[in-house]
Amino acid sequence: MDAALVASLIDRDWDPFVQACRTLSVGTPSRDGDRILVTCVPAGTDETFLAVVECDDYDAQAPLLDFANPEDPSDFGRQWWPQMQAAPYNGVVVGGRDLPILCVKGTRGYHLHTSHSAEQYERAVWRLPVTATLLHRLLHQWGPYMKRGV
Amino acid sequence: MPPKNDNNITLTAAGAEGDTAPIKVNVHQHLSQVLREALKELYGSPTPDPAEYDIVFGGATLDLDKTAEDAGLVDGSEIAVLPKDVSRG
Repeated sequence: MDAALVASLIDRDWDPFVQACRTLSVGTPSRDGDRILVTCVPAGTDETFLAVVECDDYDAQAPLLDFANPEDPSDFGRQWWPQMQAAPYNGVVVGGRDLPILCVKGTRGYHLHTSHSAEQYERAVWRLPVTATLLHRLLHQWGPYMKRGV
Repeated sequence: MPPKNDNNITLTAAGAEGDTAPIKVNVHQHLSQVLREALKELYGSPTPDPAEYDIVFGGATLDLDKTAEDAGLVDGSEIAVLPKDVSRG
């Protein structure tokens, strides 16, 4: 997709995303091009996590959710995810990248997984505010918090 | 001009997809009623079953037996209306 078009679609959904993050106490997002960073703290711990929402080709494809080293956003992967006891984790390989996923529609890993890749959805299913809702469920509803790394 | 009723507040209700709607409520209304009104404003008719939804405010799921005032909602508060559960793959 054209980078300008992607940027305009992120622009369209940015304010609702920020509002959803605020309302759901997910954290305060910041944006670097088509990459969104959300510093967040799961319920039950004081540890800080950094959610990374990659929006390349948004919204033709769903945002990719990963977690990164809070001190170095370029260092991402499963070791940086919060392990919440009731969260429905799974995994998928995306372009050689071992990506943990939540088995809930709305993020790219779920929709690329062989169990779900044939399913058809409206793009509204993976709008950015949905990512905020998923982060809320992960951080505040699917606890208790266990440790860093999944 | 009718007297202003200070018990009336306007909230912003947001659905899971980010759609928002203003809803006017009385601070003494129970949140179960607020939820019904929020669902009606967000989704119209047919209105989704309130039993399948929660109100989230400040990251916490609210007790629907409380009043808006008891839950700490004030004029301008933003609430999220989310399905209680999501289907897992």
